[in-house]
Amino acid sequence: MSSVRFRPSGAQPKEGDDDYWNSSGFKPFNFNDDDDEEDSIDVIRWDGSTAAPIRPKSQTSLSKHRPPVTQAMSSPACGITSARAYGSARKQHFPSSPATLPQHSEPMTAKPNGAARPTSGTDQRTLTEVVTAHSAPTATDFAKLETANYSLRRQLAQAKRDQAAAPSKSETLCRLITGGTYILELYKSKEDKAALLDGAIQRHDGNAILAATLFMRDTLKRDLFSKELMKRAVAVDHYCAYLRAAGEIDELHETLSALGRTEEAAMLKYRQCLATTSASNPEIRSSALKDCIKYYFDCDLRLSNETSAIQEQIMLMERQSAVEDSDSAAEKSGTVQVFKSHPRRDSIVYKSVITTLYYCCYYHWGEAEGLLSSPTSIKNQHKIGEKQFLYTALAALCRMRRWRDIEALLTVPKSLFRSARLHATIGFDKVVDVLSKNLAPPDALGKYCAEIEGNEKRLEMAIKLKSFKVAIDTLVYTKDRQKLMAYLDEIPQANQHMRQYASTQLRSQDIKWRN
Amino acid sequence: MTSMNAFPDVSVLKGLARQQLAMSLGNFYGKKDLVIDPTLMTPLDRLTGVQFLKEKGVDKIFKLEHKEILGGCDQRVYIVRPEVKIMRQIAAHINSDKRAEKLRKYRILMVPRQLHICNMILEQEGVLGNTVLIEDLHIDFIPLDSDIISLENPQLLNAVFREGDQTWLHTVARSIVNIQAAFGTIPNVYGQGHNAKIVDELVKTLTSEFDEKKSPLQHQIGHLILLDRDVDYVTPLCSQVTYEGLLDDIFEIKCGAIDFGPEVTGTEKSVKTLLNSDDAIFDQIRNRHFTAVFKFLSSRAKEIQANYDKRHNMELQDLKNFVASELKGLKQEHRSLTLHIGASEVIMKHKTKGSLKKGDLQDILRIEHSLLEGSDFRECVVYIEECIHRQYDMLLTLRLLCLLSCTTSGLLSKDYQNLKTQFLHSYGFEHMITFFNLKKAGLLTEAQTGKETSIESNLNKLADSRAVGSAVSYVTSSLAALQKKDWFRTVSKKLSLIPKPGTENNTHTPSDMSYVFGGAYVPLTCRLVEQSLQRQGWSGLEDVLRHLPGTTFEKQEARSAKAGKTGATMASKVVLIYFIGGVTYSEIAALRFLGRQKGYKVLIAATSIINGSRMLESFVETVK
Repeated sequence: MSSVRFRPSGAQPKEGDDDYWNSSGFKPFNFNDDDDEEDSIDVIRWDGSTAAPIRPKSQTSLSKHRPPVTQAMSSPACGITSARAYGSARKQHFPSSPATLPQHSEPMTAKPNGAARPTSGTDQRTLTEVVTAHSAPTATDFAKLETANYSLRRQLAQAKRDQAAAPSKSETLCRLITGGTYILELYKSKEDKAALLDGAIQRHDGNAILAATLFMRDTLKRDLFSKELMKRAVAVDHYCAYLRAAGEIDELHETLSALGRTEEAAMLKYRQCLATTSASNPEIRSSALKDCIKYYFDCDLRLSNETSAIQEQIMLMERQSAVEDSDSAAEKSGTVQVFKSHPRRDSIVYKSVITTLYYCCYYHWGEAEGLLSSPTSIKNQHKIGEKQFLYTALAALCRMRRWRDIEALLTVPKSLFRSARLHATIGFDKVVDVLSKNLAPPDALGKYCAEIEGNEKRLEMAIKLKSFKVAIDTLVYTKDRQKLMAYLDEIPQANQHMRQYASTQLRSQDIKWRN
Repeated sequence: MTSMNAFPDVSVLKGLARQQLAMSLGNFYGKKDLVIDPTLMTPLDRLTGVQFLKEKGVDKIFKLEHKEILGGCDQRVYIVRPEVKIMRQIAAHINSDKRAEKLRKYRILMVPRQLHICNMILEQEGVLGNTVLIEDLHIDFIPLDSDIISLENPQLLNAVFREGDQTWLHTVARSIVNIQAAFGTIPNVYGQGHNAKIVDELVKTLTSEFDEKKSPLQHQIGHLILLDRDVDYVTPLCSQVTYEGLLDDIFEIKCGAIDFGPEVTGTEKSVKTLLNSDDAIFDQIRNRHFTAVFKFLSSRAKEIQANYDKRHNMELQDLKNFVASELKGLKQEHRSLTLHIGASEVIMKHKTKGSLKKGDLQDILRIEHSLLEGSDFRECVVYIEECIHRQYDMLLTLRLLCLLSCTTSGLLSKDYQNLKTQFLHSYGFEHMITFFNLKKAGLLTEAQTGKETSIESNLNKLADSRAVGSAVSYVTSSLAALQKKDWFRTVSKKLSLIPKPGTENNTHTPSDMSYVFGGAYVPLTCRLVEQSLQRQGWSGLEDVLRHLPGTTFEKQEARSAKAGKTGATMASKVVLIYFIGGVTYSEIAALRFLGRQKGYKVLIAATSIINGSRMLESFVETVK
């Protein structure tokens, strides 16, 4: 603590103070070993470990060039990050054109801010420091002002000298990479700009690459810029990433098209189309999508799959909006029983095909194919596979508790050579799984559980779902007496009926048990 | 500073980050409000606390959102990532203050550095001026544990691997420079991947540009291994079965902390807890295969009970000692044990039951193992179709789809179109953008067989003839690199990633790294680490590496210099493994195992901690 208090010692001992600060760098902080002050400890560690090699350099270069006043203000700058510090140090060697000056003086105009900055340490320091900084310009210390004046003159002179020659490109790139101040506007020739961009690409710094690219865009004629950009794939990537982030969609689209990346360009337009219409009604969106196809998808044969998908999407939206309109009207009228017992949760507009199918299976099962809300019509229009249709319909019908419809769905009608039978393309194990996960009661499950092919699978499922009869039958079928006896214990006492059934089977003389 | 030969103490990095923050806030004298980028909330939480911020004069803390902030004092600090969207939000705040004639001073602290475009946007929005000051807030690594450090920057994956935007690689390189400044220059560097190479070069550039002298410190880390995520997309796509991995997959670990909901705690409250090696129980189980966890927990529970019971037949004096010394520890263990048992139960439920939106974990694991082995291709496709048909959680379906594509080096055109159509029907047509994104990142691709290539190439020619400019479509060119036929099979055979059937791998006492996937697969990245350490470089592996995406490089210190130093032998056993694009907990567990097995001390660095879902999430289209 004690060392810290030396610092804001007012205007008088300023010179000495500064010397002290310059020569010993940040050492004074090191006295400050007591852990109660978070900040000051922080400074030690930071200096010691990361920035140590940088610090001395900026310190010395500053002290050579700058009078105390500026010193007081620039040292905080290097206190912020090593990167900045280094940048400002270099500034001294190449104080560039007058264009720099406003930036240089920025900390001065922002005096209260700037003055507060050196206080990185503790709060006590800060206060005094602020006072000092305020009093400095108006202080009686004439010599001090004079040195400040001298310094500014010198800087101006140097800046004027430098106006003719921009800092070398590698110097500017270095500043871009390390976070220093730089002025790209100094590079006037096209070659210089291109070289700057190439240098940035060579150094792999995205920030520099983008800065150089955007500078080219702003200062070169459109087609010149395009030509230079197209030559450099890395720059293109950065430019596109920027355009996407900044939301300059049209420019991005143009760039991508020019590069022949039609798929990406088309996707971009498709996305934009969806994003801008997400709150509008289906008619607006579908006309926008139609335009989208016309302008961006039709022109490339490779996109034919995407084109047909979007066309499907448009058809779907038309269906959704019609169904939604009639159903919400029906719900409001309050005359349709199903909407009262099972109120609609959400609008189906902009939902997926399968979600729409599920909805229609739920509310509109069995409707004639001519109606838009008919599940069969959705199935046919979107070429939904048998399996997918079955999964969706089963889940919806199960939720509606329409067991008879499920049975009808899974029954292959009687034909000339065979009587009616149960059949499921997805396999009955999946049927049972879907039904049980949609909370079907055990008695609704038993029938399909018994249909599962493969004894092991059937047994496993029956045990899992506590479908006792199927389990017992399967065990009897496989003649596994041991297992059946063990299984008897798992049937709850309450279910006397099933326990009875199992015992009868066990006692039966007709079965040739394996064990 | 830590002693010379010890394992690098990464908590130093936390101290450094805190200092950065303290300094930036301290520089802005007086009372101020803090507005924090939502993505930085948790990382900052890990570094500081409200108390710390209050001490630095912070009054109110807000989350940066796209709406006005009401109230607050006349000074405001933004802590944000340097992104265009965020700059616009800040500009909107400042401009609305201006309209309301509210005088306020602003500081914008950009983590980890300001970018040209950010300053440009702020200038364009007309908010730059005396009252607005922009500074870098150089925070990179967040130490999540004594052996894990992370940049906590998940957006890097998308930016670097999909868009080809290298901006964040600077941060990666800078973090290595800082590590070297703290723990000495790392003598041996091995890398695989396009971006790893860039980072390595950037490290050199930055070191020389910052005029960083070769660090005078004796190096504490002997090896640095840099790996690109796209070298191995397969590993993060697999379901995790280590305890920590499962926690991440099911509950999601955020920046080293987890939120256990009521289902775990058994009470109404949820509990937020830190997951690291300070928790003795967790430290024992985190890396285990899940089947070995429960047994440990129950035996530990008995021990604790026994210790509690001790007090019943104690003399008064002993009891006093017990209460003073042991009881607290016991209570802590008890608490942690309760949580982990609760969590294990929830995991068990997930494993066996499945739900309406998720398949049984056992089925999924079976399919994954078939995919890794390359067997039963049709069965796998049928299962994935079932996932689509039943509208399972989209990220799960996508994960399996991507795994299918990555292990077979691209799907056959027929399968690809078929699965895509069904997927779009189930999850919405807008996901054709997701498919495009995944294709661009190389995660879900369409293999081109001979016949189709000719048609395709004709179409390409047709399209290209119309296009101006010489650059070929980026997508096709990047795909070409990935389309070395069946490279995953080749590599997995050459590196024996799939243990031979019959070699029983005990998940309780594992004998090799494949235990992290139940003995089915050794993570490719981890095998690469093992090999490079064993060979002290890549020599002899050229045949394998040429199948992997990206470039290979190595840099070694002169052998002679190594012999002279005393500390060098210790340091040569310390390895820093850096994953560009994220690392999974399974890989961390495997590397820890490798370290124990081969006597290496492993420090893992990553741009973020990922799992399958989080990795894919960044590519999923969100427009509805």
